[in-house]
Amino acid sequence: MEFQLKQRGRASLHFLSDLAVSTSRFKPRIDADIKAAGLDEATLSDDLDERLRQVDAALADSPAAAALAALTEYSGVNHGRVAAAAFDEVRGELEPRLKALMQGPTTIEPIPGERRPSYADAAWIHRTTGGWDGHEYQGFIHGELIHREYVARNYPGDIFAQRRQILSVLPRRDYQRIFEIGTSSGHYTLQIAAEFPQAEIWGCDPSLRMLEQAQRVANERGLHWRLFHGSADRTGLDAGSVDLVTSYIVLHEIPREAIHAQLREAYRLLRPGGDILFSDVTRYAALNKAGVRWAEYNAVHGGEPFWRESASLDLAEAARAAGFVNVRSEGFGGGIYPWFVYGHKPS
Amino acid sequence: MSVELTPHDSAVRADRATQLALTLARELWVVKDRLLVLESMLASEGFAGLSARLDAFQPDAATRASIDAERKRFIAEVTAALDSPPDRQA
Ligand SMILES: C[S@@+](CC[C@H](N)C(=O)[O-])C[C@H]1O[C@@H](n2cnc3c(N)ncnc32)[C@H](O)[C@@H]1O
Repeated sequence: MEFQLKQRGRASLHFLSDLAVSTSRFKPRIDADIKAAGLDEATLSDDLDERLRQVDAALADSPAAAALAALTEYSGVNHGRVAAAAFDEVRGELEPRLKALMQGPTTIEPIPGERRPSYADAAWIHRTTGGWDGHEYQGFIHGELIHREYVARNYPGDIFAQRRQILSVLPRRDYQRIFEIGTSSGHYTLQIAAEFPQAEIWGCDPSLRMLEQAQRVANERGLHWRLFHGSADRTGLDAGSVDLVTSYIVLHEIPREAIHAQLREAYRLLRPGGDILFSDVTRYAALNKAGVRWAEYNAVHGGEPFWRESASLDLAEAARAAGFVNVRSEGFGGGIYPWFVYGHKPS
Repeated sequence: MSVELTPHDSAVRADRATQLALTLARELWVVKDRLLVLESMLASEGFAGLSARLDAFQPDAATRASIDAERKRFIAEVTAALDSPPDRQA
């Protein structure tokens, strides 16, 4: 949907994005300060809590570390507020159009199983006020303002193309029905729909505010998606009803037990011969100690309560435990991000 | 997982004055952006002698009321920046 922000909202969002981009200059200097303090792969502790303390103490007098902390704290706390304020300035003009886009071929219905897992309220993910449901138009605010403007400018590569490329991992092009976990505002769903135009698309998410944006995005393009408001851990949908179960950057936002539950549920939902493809952040096992320390530091301060337990899980083992075969758990294209786990349900 | 594992880092984050400075920097940028937009619009319409007229300008009652309302909004943001962030309030 084409839209324009007012001058204040546009300028504030640009400021936040550029401020966040500017923090990258401090990272090499912080790495040098860590090294100068005698910390390297040999001396960094094996225990992650201890390693965080070790590095924190080593950086106590580092101006670069202080600058990064101040700036990322500011971005973390304010990006959601600034985006919501930018939306509120133009709400009057946008609201009738946003409401109209909820009419169309894409529907939202309650999932027959569990609506909202208890961990969904454990913390405000990304430190955004109220988490995924914090604003009546959180789906538009996150999907269009935060993701397109702020996240896209702060992550390496084309984050939309990455969602499309990952689908090349899949061995088939004839999936009849695809079930997506964590549809959110529909960024990945759009890529699935483009890659598998013949497939019927189902999606689910416990956040109704996010799903409403996916519904608008689909209706605007005349797409027929069937969206379920609820959790993928226990859907209550019929066993053997889909050919592919897939998700994109959902796993790091849910606890370890929920990952196991989603793998088991995916296995149940799949017809024999079906596949799973879950993509997520780099596994801790693929990083060195310093790399894990950075990931953990960003997670702790970025409102990611489950990142550590999720990124520490061996996804290949978890997929096999759920019954999948031909399992692959690796970085896409020989890299380390995005990471994916693929599995096949035997015919 | 907790911020207590990084006490030095957390102390920097808790410093409200730094967060306030960043909020002021953002507001200043919004105003600078607006001035650049304004100058560009006025220049394209052939408007001359702008700064002298700005200096001499006396707001009427309606303009004054809207400036007053905008200043109150600004002060509310400054105050919020000095407070703990909502997800860290006891
Ligand atoms: C980072 S977003 C997903 C982004 C999206 N797939 C994309 O490509 O832009 C994570 C989403 O997972 C959803 N989620 C969390 N727990 C879930 C669960 N148990 N079942 C399904 N979705 C869940 C959240 O509500 C959120 O919308």
